[in-house]
Amino acid sequence: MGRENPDRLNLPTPREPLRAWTEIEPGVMIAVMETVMQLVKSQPDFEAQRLARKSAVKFRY
Amino acid sequence: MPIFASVFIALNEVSVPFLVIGGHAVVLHGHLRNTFDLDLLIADSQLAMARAALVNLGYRTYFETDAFLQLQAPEHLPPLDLMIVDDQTFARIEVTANQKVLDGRQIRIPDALRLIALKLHATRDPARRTTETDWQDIAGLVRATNRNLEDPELQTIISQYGGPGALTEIQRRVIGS
Repeated sequence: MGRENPDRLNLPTPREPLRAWTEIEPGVMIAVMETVMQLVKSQPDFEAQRLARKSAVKFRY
Repeated sequence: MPIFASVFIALNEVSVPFLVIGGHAVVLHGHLRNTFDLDLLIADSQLAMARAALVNLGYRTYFETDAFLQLQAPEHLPPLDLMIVDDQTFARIEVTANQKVLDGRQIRIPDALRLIALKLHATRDPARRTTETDWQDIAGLVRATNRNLEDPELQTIISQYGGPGALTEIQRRVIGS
């Protein structure tokens, strides 16, 4: 095997930073949450499950 | 399909001040995670007015204590909880609140520090089944808002609302990640 051609590793530079490709905007996330919310709320024990996550201790600041 | 705007409009129409808290506030600060309900913070003195407006929309009370009101939603509206605080607490959180847009409406959320205080408070309730989401939210808020764990104001909040061990837990999740 000969030596690897170093030019083969020169990948094209993206026009935008990679982070911008992969981050989800909060607005998109909220739209997803709305859809999920509407789907799960018809489950028979949905309200009981929500209740189990509540804190009954009053918050003071 | 926007489902929150009706709630915001109904409360605005009766001039009930509220802050969006819970998962939506966490997401609006930049830490993405899912949630199954809408949580609002309101003052004690506004509860009766808020309840009447929401009942008018079709909400029914599922459970209530002096700390919260859990509402069962009609078909077209989101599951909703009101977290109830005394008027002084509401005013202290409201004064540093951040303006955001949700479902095309201007709303307010607590700033990151006050939201972290609310989350720390939730971790200390022994009756809650799990606090994992709260710890993830706290670490996510610290990261998303570029908070320095050495910041004295943040450390005061952690010490006051999280108790012993909270700072170590947050450091483990933020620095250790």
